[in-house]
Amino acid sequence: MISFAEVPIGSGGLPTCAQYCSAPSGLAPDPRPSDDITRDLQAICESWGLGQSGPGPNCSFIGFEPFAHRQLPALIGAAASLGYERIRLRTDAGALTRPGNAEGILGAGVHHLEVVVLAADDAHDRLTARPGLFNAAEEGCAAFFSAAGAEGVSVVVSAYVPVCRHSLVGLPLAAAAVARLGAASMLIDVSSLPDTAENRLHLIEALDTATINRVAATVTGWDGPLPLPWGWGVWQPVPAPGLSASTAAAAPGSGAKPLQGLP
Amino acid sequence: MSAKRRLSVALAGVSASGYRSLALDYLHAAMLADPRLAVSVSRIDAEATDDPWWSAYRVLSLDPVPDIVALPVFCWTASHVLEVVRLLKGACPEMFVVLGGPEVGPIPGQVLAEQPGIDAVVTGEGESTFCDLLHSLARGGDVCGIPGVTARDGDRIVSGGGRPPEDDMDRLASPFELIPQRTDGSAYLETYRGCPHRCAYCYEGKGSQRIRSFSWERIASDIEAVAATDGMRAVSFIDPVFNLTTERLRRLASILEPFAARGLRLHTIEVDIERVDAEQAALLKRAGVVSVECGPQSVGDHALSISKRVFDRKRFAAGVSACKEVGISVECDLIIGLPGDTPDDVVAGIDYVTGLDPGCVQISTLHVLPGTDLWDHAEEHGLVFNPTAPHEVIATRELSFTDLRRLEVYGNAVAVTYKARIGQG
Repeated sequence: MISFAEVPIGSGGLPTCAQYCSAPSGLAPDPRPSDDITRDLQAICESWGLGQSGPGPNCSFIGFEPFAHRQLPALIGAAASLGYERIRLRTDAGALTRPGNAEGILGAGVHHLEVVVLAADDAHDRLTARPGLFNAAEEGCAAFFSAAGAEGVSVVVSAYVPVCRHSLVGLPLAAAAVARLGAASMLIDVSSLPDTAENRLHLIEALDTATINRVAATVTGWDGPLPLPWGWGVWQPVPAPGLSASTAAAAPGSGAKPLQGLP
Repeated sequence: MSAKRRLSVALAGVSASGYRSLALDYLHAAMLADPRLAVSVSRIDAEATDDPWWSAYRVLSLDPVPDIVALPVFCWTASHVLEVVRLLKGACPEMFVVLGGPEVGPIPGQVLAEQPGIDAVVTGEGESTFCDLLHSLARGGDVCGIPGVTARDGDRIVSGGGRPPEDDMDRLASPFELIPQRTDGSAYLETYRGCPHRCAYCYEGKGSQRIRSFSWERIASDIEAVAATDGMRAVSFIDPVFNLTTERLRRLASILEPFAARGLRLHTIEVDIERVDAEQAALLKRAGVVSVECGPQSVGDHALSISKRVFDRKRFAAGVSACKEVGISVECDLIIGLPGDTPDDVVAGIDYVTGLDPGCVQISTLHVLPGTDLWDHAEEHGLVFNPTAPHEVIATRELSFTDLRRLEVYGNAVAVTYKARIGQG
């Protein structure tokens, strides 16, 4: 998969686990100062290409709802002027329903959205404690695609699916819901779950559901080889290049061990 | 069909949206240039996304209803064309239906045996064969025994044997001289037929491996005729390898340069990228080329060997770089499902081409086409494919059905993610 360097733009404000979980990260919005973020962007850009040959540089703003960050336009502008080829926002996508937002980020250079999905439909709303959020995400993605179609530019929606014990059983449904957003790929983060045989079964169901809905699924968060079917060996997440240790530690999904297929 | 009379012929092509069949243009030109023929010709260009019933309506609503309808068939248009044939024969049983093209030409007996609505199949290049067929029908004669035609003789299916492809390409009537070119701003052209490569999955050479070129005078006049069309802005050459030799490329560039200077652009030209050096890249640029298409199709040694392809990683990368240096966009193509490729090979191929940072990455699934080496030796290679067009690969010895589907989804996600970048439409 094409690599994106994950750049935290703050913490909180973005649902990354169920409201029932302890320490839900969505409850304490804390944006990072834009100078710090720009410094990270510059460092990553300068080191891009060292030791790897993937296309880029590409960055992904994570950790904080980007549309709640007052400096978002400046941050996107900084990334674009530094020469980033692909700029991605990890978002709940609800803000894209507001007039002008989809066109605005597109015009600024954002061709990639990574929508946070905890579950499908009403379950997503319940787990995030945000009634109507899933519908808003669907409408937001549609607005993004529509704006791109009007401009004749290519855009991609993907999904970030953090899994906890509250969302595990509904994971296959979440995969189908991701497909309804128009996503081409999804990253399933199982780092908050123990690696058990039962949990793997749910994971495999979700992977298969994603596949038959033409969504490429990648898994992150468990150590060591997993007894997945051999063909799943292709879904190996690639650690984002150019991340400093501190950035990597702050970035969900980065530094994850790749899934290993059965021999 | 009895007594000599003026035949009414419909040439019905099914193409991708926005395209028009060049094969039918050549047939049409051949008919106009053949002094033996006095036929009225109607041309119908349907799109693959059209409803076949609507396509059939367009044929049957012609006045007079055509005596003969000819349809080229490709793997991706086969289901549409065969449905049209069923409808035409149901509504008008006396209509003579002729099929040609790469989907049916290599397997005419099988097609006629399976499709009762088809009266004849033209194999190989169709210009002379189709005119002979029309000439025979106009005289009330039999089409059985015409070289290049396989047809019904009562309950029997009879082949007239093969017809060697035309050696003197200038004898083929030029559609660009004889048929008004469409004015939507784009056109196809060809400068030769045959292919220097022997790729096991490809029917580009259409059964003929020899390179048969039009003369330089003919190439120049065809280009001039196309370029002179009002509003013409873009041309795609369908030559399997546009940069056959540097000398040939020099001549093409010198012919095309004046038109390039006036704004004519060449899109998605197929090149052997490993031959492209700084000089060839400059010549392509001079010719007005804005984008080229190339392999590698696979980077796996086993698949490349079975596919009879040569791949030099460094030369390939150098060719891509040379094009990029002069501002030519490169589309790199990969095929998922080639026999011999493992999942790791496919992923390595995707990593390789995206690592070259080309303009575009095109990842498609193998279609096992009639007349290709893979079609003929599928069992030997452990290749299972859909016998019905478009003949998608179902499984290989190295890739299960589910592996293939996962790789398709993965490949698509990479391709679209790659494509979506700042400055790229």
